[in-house]
Amino acid sequence: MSDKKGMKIKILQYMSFELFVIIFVMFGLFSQNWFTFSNFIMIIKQSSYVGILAIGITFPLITAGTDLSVGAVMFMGMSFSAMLLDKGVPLPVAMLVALIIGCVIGIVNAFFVVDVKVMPFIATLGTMTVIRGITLIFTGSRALNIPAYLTTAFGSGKLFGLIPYPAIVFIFLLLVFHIVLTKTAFGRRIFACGNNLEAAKKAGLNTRLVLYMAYVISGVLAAIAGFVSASQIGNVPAGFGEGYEFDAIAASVLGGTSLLGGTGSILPGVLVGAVTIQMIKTGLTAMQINPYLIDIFQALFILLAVMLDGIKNQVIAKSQSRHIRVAE
Amino acid sequence: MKANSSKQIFVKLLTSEFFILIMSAVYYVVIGIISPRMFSGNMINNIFQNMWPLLAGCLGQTFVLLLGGIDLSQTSVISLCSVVSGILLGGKFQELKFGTSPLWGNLIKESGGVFSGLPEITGTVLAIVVVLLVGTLIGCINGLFIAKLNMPPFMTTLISQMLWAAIALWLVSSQNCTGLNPSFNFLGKGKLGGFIYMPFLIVIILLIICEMLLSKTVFGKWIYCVGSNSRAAVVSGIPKNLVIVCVYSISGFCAAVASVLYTGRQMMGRPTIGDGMLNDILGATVIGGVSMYGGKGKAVWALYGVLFYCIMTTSMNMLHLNSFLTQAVKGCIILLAVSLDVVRTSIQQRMTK
Amino acid sequence: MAEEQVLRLEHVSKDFFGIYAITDVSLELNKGEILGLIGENGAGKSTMMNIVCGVLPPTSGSLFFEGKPYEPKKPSDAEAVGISFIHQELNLFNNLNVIDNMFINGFRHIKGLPLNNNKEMAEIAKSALAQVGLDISPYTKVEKLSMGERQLIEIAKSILGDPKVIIFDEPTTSLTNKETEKLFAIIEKLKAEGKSIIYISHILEDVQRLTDKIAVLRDGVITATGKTEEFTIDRMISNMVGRSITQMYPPRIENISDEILLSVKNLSQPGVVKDINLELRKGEILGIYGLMGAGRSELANILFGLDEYESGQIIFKGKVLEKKNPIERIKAGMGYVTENRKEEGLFLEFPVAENINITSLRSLSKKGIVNKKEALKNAQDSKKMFGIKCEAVNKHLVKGLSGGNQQKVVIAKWVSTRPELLIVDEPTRGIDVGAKSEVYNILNELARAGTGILMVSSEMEELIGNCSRIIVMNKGMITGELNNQEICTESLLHAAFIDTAGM
Repeated sequence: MSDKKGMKIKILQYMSFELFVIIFVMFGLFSQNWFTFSNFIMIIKQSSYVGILAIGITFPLITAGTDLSVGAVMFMGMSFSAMLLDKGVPLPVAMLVALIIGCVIGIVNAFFVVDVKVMPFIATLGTMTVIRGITLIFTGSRALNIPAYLTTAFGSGKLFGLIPYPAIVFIFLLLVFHIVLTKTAFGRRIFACGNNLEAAKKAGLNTRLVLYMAYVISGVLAAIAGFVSASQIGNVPAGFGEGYEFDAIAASVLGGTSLLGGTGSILPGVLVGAVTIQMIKTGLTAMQINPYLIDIFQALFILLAVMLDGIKNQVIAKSQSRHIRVAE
Repeated sequence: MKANSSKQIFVKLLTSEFFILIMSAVYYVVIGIISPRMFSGNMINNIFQNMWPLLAGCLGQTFVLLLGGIDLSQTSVISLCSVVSGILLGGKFQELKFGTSPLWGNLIKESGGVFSGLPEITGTVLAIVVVLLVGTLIGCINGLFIAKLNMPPFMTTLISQMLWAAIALWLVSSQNCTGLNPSFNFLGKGKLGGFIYMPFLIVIILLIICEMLLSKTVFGKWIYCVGSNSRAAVVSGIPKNLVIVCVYSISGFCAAVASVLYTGRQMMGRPTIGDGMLNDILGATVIGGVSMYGGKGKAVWALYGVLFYCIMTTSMNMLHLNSFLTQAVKGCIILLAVSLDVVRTSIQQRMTK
Repeated sequence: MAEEQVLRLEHVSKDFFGIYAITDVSLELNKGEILGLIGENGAGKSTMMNIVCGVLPPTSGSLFFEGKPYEPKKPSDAEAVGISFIHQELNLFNNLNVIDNMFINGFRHIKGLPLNNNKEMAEIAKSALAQVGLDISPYTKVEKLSMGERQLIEIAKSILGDPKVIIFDEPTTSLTNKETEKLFAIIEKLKAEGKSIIYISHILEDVQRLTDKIAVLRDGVITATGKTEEFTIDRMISNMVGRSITQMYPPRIENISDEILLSVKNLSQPGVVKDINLELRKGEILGIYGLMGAGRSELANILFGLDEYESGQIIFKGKVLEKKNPIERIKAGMGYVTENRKEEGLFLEFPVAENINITSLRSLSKKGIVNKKEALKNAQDSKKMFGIKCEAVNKHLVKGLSGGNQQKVVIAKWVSTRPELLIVDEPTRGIDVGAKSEVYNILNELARAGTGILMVSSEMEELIGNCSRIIVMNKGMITGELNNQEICTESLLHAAFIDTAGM
């Protein structure tokens, strides 16, 4: 009876790929040098930090939560590292500090969400403001410098003169967290919690631990994204990371993560989502469109992604509600 | 025994609807003792003047929170409406600044905005009507997405926030529009008969209307019902989707009112005027006691919240605190307010069990 | 073969705030035996099983497992000794595959790595699936499986731990006939392997066919136990129902008008209901009986315009109604007391008055402004009329009321719209006996005044006591209709339990 409906669901399910291909081809028609290897590598490089944020944010999203503080975590982690590096602290230590900051903020977020039971978006909106405020107290509104070697050796460096390091970090993290999400007990339990938290509790899972882990991963990856981003920009401006949480959520949702929780993937999800978002930016810039319009297009595109997610959920819910037994 | 009764008093205080009003008074007095300048007429005037435009936004937010939703797009509605006022009433636009605007040459010209040629009062009135319509329309669009597509309110309005903020910047190429009608500016900073502060008058009327709407009308009851139990509301024959769309429209309308007041006060249409106001609006509304879980709150509670918030921020400015520290404190207020909301809700649940 | 005792309950009682849920229950379960546990809703079956599974502690009495004292504190204690409970509502995660679901609480890892050993788990899962006769890949996502297959997954999951006792709670409600047959074969096989089984079901024919021993619960007391051969279906029913039915119920309405109020023609919605035809006259109380999952509440939702339907017609007072529009129906004079009063009927945080007035705000207001005086009066009148026990109606929150009073508030809210048709779904679920009889009186008075009442219920007793006609539903279809003279428990049950297979 439902060939047409099944088709509709299929089309919606693979929406991320369809959009990816459509946009990819579209820009190819409009700009030169689009279908080249170097262009593709560049897009991956440019999408690396948003992609890393998106990997992290996917975890809270799967649990039916969200983390709006990631942009601020990037800023705080990187600012403190930059200040430490400026004082001559060795790089590994500075990096460790950033990671610890990300971890602690993740724990704070999780505390509000899991223990105080505040809604995730408002809790993380609050921590976002606090984190940014605190960091700015230390940095003032000036841009912090980072050591030149970070930029030359890492930010604009290439492995074998071919693949940029930020892209390598991105791909490496994609692989690692893909495995975490699909192959470990923790990964599977995240999905269980996002599907039905009550059932997960009933099944005897330590749901509190699982949720804490999700927010910690999001925080730590945001700190890493800070490094990847700063080494490409060359410094840490006062508005560093502002608004990146949108791009990250959009990338994740575009990649098939549902805002209602329970579904999502790192590979291919986040990769496709992050690259699509970056492709739009790069493509529109290449077409020399008014920069104001790029922001508008981007917002409209995110709207499209979330809208499709909403429609998909409705269609699926409808098809499942019909699962009541009837005589055969 | 005694410990028990003092605990009871504490719980009673915490769950009282006047809790934040009492806290405001306590805070004011404590800060005043530390720094007596807090009691000066200048400070009081400062607090008084800051309250009203913010309250306009908070009233809109109250409606949305009563529904169990949230409207993060109010800030960009404020910005966009400010830009629209500028485009309509701006006195002079320089090609150097506005030449790249998409409206250059058709809506905004060297000679001024769309309504700048009209008689002063007509122009102002028309501009206000357009601005309020724009705000309401944006709210209506938010509501439609939320009601019809079942999209999470926070995400919908977050995207809406990005979109309209970007459009506001685009329309005027990030420039401020100056030279608005004096009568328009009068709304934001004038005193009626040299005595009654205009924003106060406007927002008090708005507050009374909101309070009436919520407590006296069928529509008000519907809002509470949808916010408290949307499924039961549908079963009881309440047009849930209509209520959602109307409530978000009201939120947009209130933001537009706030925009008129802020724009008039600053005497220019600024595309970034609403930036950073989200914390103020959310923080003040929630700390006033309006629950984020829907169905609980009164319009007048927003007034209490705004009072507390303005005393707080004014005192921080007076103490010359680092502006970034102020920002961090504002974030803390939001976290505190929502945590308080959760604690109060759970206490009340336990009390009636 | 000497009978080996696995589980024994001795004089177990459990009270909730002074009200006994089960009283002095003693029961034995032997190795390789299937025990059928039957009783009406609220008879204490689930309380008893919750005690066995460590969800609730007994107030008094003791439990023994394999002869040794057994005092489970939490569900995992029950699992540890080898008791496995398959709940009526499945506890599976639809977004995960079969392996993940089966091992969610104890994944097998690859040696020395924190990675799941899917290969090993797939092997184990496969053999468990084979045991329950399910031929699917263990990598299939649960959302792709039918309800019956999901049930089998639960069973496969439970036999992973090699339990000694398996408890099935209404396992067949969502299964097709074929799947039911399969399930029974598996249960027989498990029995042959020496596992003991407690089988809880409303479907007495199944119980008779499957079990070795039967225990009947009524009002928290075991009214009969014995070998299955000793029980006829009639005996089971009389043990379950027991008390004389007529006492609680008001006298039946004698003269019902001939005017047809509601007629439903060929109503179908795929997967929900099929080909429903019915007529309801003014002043009539029409019962719809069906077990859980028979489609009775779904039908009520469609009639009230909350859910869609694909084909057919609903005609109310001679007018064809729109497909999905509860507001139109309320204006036309319909009311709907839903099955879950807390989720769908009440605004728990609001006072009694607000709850009663919400449906009649249109008549209690002028130009959109509520007339406070009239609204208060309406609420107070309702309070008096229905005997709602509360303090000031505009202060007392509904969540502070007892279940019976909450239900009266829901009924009052619809009655104040002066409905001509009131659909009541499970009108007395979870309320005490006194309140039940009050609710019946209210409904009968309404009917006497000319309101048509559609009473949807899974409690046969209240339908027999109240209705002039009863329609029986099974698997989304009407399988029988009984009028006043024919109504008796046996005929009702017979209609409910016959399989659609032969139809």
